Amino acid sequence: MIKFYPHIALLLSLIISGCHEVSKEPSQPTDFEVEVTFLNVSTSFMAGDKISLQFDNSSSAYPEFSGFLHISHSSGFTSISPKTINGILYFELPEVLTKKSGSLSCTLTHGNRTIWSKKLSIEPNTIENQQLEVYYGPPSINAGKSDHSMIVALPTDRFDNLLPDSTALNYSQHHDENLQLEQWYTNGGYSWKKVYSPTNSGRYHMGITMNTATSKEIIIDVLPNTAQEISVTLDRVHAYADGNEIIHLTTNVIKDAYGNTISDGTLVDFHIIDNRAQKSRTQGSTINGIAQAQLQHPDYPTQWTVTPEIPGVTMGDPITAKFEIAVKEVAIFYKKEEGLLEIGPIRNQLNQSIPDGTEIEIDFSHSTAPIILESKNGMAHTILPKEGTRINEIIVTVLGYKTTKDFED
Amino acid sequence: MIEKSNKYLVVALLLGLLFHGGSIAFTLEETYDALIHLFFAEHYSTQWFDPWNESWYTGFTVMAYPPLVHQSMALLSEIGGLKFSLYAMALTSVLLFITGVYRFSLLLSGDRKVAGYASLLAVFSSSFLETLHLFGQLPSIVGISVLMHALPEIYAWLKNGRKKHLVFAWSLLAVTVCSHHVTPIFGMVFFIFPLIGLVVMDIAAQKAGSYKDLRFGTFWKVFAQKFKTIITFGMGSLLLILVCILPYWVNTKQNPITQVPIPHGSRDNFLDAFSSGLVFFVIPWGVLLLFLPYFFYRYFSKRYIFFGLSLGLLALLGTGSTTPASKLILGENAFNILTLDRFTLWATIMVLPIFGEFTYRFAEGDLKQYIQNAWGARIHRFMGGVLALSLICVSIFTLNLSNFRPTQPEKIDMLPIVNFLNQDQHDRWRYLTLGFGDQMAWLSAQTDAASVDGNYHSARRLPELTSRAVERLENSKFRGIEGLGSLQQFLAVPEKYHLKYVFSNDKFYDPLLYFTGWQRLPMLENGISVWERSGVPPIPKINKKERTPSYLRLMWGIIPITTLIIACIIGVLRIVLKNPKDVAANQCQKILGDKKPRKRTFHILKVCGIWVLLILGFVSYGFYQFHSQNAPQIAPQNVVKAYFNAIDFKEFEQAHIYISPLSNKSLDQFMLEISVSDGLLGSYGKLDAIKMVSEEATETTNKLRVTSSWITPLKKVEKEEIINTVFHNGKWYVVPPHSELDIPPDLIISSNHTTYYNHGRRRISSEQTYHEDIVRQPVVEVIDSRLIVSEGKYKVVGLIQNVDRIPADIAISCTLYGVNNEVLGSYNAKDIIKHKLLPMETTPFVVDFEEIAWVSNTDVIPKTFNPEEFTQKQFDMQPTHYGIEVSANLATSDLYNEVVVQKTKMINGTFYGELFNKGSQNSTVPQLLLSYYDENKNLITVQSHYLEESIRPQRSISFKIPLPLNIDYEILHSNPEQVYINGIPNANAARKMLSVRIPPNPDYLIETYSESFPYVGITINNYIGNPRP
Repeated sequence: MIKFYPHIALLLSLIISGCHEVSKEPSQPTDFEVEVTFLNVSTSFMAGDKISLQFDNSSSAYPEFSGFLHISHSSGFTSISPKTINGILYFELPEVLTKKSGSLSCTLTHGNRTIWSKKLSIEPNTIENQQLEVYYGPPSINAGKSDHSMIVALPTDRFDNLLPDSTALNYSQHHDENLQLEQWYTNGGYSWKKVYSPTNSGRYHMGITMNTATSKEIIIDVLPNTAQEISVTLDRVHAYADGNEIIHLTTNVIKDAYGNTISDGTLVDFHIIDNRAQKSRTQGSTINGIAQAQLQHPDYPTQWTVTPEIPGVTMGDPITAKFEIAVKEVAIFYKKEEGLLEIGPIRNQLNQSIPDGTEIEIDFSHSTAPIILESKNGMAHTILPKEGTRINEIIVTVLGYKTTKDFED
Repeated sequence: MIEKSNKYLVVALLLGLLFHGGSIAFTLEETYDALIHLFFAEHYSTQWFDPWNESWYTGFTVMAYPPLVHQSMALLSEIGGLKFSLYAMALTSVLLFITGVYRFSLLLSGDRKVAGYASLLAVFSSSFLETLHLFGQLPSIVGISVLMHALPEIYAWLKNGRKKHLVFAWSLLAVTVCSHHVTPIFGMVFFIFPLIGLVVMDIAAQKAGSYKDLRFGTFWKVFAQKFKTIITFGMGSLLLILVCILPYWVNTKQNPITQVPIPHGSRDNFLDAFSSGLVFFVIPWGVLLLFLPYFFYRYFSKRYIFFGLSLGLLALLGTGSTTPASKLILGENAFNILTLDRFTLWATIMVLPIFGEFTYRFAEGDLKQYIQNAWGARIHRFMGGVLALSLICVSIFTLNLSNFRPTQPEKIDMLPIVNFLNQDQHDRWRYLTLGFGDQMAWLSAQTDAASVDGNYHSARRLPELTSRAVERLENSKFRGIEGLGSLQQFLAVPEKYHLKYVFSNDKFYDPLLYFTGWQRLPMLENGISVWERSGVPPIPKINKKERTPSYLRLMWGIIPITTLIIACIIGVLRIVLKNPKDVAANQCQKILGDKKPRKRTFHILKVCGIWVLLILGFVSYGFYQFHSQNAPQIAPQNVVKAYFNAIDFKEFEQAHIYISPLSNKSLDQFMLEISVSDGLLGSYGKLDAIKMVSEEATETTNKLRVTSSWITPLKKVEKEEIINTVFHNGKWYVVPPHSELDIPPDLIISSNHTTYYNHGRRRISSEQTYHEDIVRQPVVEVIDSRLIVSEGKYKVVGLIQNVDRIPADIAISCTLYGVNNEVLGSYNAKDIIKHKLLPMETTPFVVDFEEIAWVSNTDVIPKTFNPEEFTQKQFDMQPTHYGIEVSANLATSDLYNEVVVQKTKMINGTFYGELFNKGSQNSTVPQLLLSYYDENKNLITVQSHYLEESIRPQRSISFKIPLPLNIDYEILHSNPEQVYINGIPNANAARKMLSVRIPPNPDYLIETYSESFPYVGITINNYIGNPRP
């Protein structure tokens, strides 16, 4: 059995009745009988103006005009029908179409026939509330004439239509108390400029105006270029190799090739090599062009060669610093019965006890493993294992000071 | 005649509501599962018909879990919010459970008093308490409770074949299957099969006259008669199980669970793992354990024999690996997937009717008489008191177990996190929580942002997760390497998952986050630290989504809730239309009609007594063993172990007790010395194992060589030290090590630094960032790079310098290509790189090509933890060249560069030196990157060394690194053109910043006198654990 679908039946009957309706309509006038006259004076309009195309249809044999005005525009195709007042056809263009500059192709048709066709042009609104769109980048450039940033200005009317070519823009640029003014003219709707970096770092403030419109404040930072000369000075409390005090290494004010102080935070390495070819490295980041770094004193008399460097960028001349022996004397006591070994007092060059925690290396001529003690109040002691050790000689090394004591059996 | 309401049941219900309702607010949110169910409920409350959930695992389908409980909660949440719905559901489950036990007991015993007693006991059932208040398994409870409600109906249908019983039974079964899929499947085996046996037995006994006269032939005849009825019920039930949650089955087929087995305590050998034994055996059985002989005796009587077999099987399956039985019965596969605690739960529920019967007989019945006659009323009362007291004590203990041994971190206030994710479009990226426990589900329920992690592991699909036996990334440290290995892959390649934010509630992970390139944001108000990774793209607007056919979605949304509605309607109709007499109960025979004492029962009572004594003896022996192994000061080894444990758990006062009193170290002094020790071991290490060998022993002293292994987030540390112990006043003590003597030169340190701050957007606007507020990306330069193959491993090594004027945060991604430019694989530089670079700072880097570990089934997963575990990616063909992409973004933090290297020397292939901290921050975890160079000073490889101690300001620590004897390597490709910095070719970008590059200082490398790597270079990276403002 065939199922009954009421909705389909309904739809079909509607369609059929619709077709029937059409065939019943009185016959239309033939297209050739419709005549209209274009009444508007100008086909050029300003963006934002109301556009109403008027045609005189009164001479036509059929005052009931049933044609359309077709408008082809940048975003598509629109058809509108007229209002008829006293035999005059008024076609009011939708507001959207009147705001955008450019051309509109209008065609009036009736039935299949084109009655009238014309291109309308809409010009940017140059009279009121113009605006400026300005883009720039990068926001920071390096000093030294080779780097540049770029500014693009697009003057528009209030409907965002680009203004016609050769619109004048006033460009101002402020850097380092120099004010530079220029007049630009648009070409192809916009105007642009490469702003080359000056030699001195700082900040560019730029702006563009056009009649009443102004751009936002444009800021381009000119950063210092790469570092050039670097040198180092060494500052210390004393010249003794006590392994505890802090040495301060300080650079000059590091500048680029144009005399700008390099950016804060730039990391500077200091390479240190001593007499025994032991290497150390410290580093510091710059503030106002000066980098500071610290290091502990060596724990034996030696000579340092310090070289400052910004890797890949610049390297300074090495400086040297000599460290004197810190320890003046070391006493050693060994009580064989108890196995007690007492080192100390250990005095420095100023006859003071050496700092606590200083390493004391004790070596026995026959033994391979040295003992390492830490000093406290200039002293150190340990109990040596009694069994199996015959101690003939004890060598004590403190801060590079070596002393040997012999013990007879 | 209208039956009187059962006063025991009424009391049980009231008591149950009071007891559970009063405690639920304090326990339920700290359970393992409750918040997960809440999360699912939240899903249904926002998208009832859409099963796709974006919040977890880069998207998963909620069709992986039966929906009814969640959907009911979602409906309830419309009344009073999500938490209200959780509590309401829990209380409903309490009521369902108690009434369920009542009906089940009534069915079995046929005595309303017995059933009443059973329902009273159900209130305090420790397994129920544990399941609800410790595990929070709401669907499981609802499932078994509804199943118990269904049993009398099934009984009635089988016995007299009235269709209304069948319909109601089916309707209840449908509710069960929609609540919890496992319950009806196993329920068939363990509850319904024995029930069928019982019905047949009852009918057969009626025919035979009594149970005694019942023979197998009669039984078989009745069974054959009833076969059709049974089959009708069985087939219908099977159909219901299939159809009601058809989408679940379809989903299981489409997304088979590829998850490798995740260890579960219920599968342990309870004798080995005491805590598992406690949680999964002792607590659920509780007081019932003492009456086991009685239960088995009763259930192995003729009428209940099938229940007896079922109980035996359940009890056996619940023992995990303690007996080999469960593995044999279930098979390897099912054994590893199922959590066996549910079998114990069912077993304990199954014995409740018999326990009810026992209690009844003890309180009012024959046992009372027997005991009173034998020992007097006082003894009876005393025994009753002990029984009640122990029941209640076990209940209280179970209820508060999570307080004694916290299973979850402290409750976290989620609001600041929710606000953070809502702010500034942070929810456009995924996030990850660390150390949140199961509370992560509650966070997910409250935010739209998605997490890469999740809390329902059967639903996950990323091979990085399914290949690991890890519950969640967020507690990965408890799963050793498997966890941390998974976590590291997410942290190293976050852009793959659009992972940008990590919320950490556990500082253990902090060093790992730092060294893999994450940066710390200011701590939230609730004390959660937030870590961020820059340069990660947001989740694309159009996301991969698994399409589910509409019919399945409709079924999922409509059928389960309909089953509930139908069950409710039938239930109400039955009450309204009919006498609320329990039909099923009348079908049962009164088995306790005569309350005459029976001798055999009293024998079993004696057996019970012996059994209790045995158990008590066993427990006492266990305690004695535990004590003698753990008494700290009876042997030198014990005291060292106890001392290390105390230090590990930061119980410094306890550790001080183990310190020799002869050392005259006051607690103050000890605390001071401990408090200054910090670093990878001190702050982030977890003691894993400790071994000791006695080197010199006398009566009163013992010198021990102690090797301790520590787990840290970055590496496994083996530490060897000599510890002296002394015997003093009958106890062994540890001789404390000498305190540090070194005194820093300056009392007050001043230091100047450039600090950075990034406004982000200067305008307060929710629009896209204005173009002038977009932060410029710094320019970095890859100075040198090469692809090498060494010992079969491919790696890209290189040097990279920040040539910009601002600090850079760099992420390096390398891609390997084959001969014909086939892409073979890509990976990011993980921790062998310094991610944050000051202007002009240089770092070496290594990109290792890591495979998702243990993807193939044949890989052997290591048992022990090793954070350095590495699975080399296997390539189909030989990589011939490579490309590098560097993403550099402004870095504003973690730029501490104050640790310097001094006094380096090379002795016999070992590299010695000192690190000195010249700044004012404590470098908690110093990392040493050692780069190896060939004779032309070309970089060959880089190794990372984490130092175990922290470096305090103006102090130095020495290091000693044994260098490899030889490095075998082959250079495959060097300095390719395909190096891009933020999308711009390497040289183009860099030459603008640094027009001429000069060669480096020849002094910067250290000579090693090795042939394969004559030079090494050092780079130092510091993790500051507690930055000083």
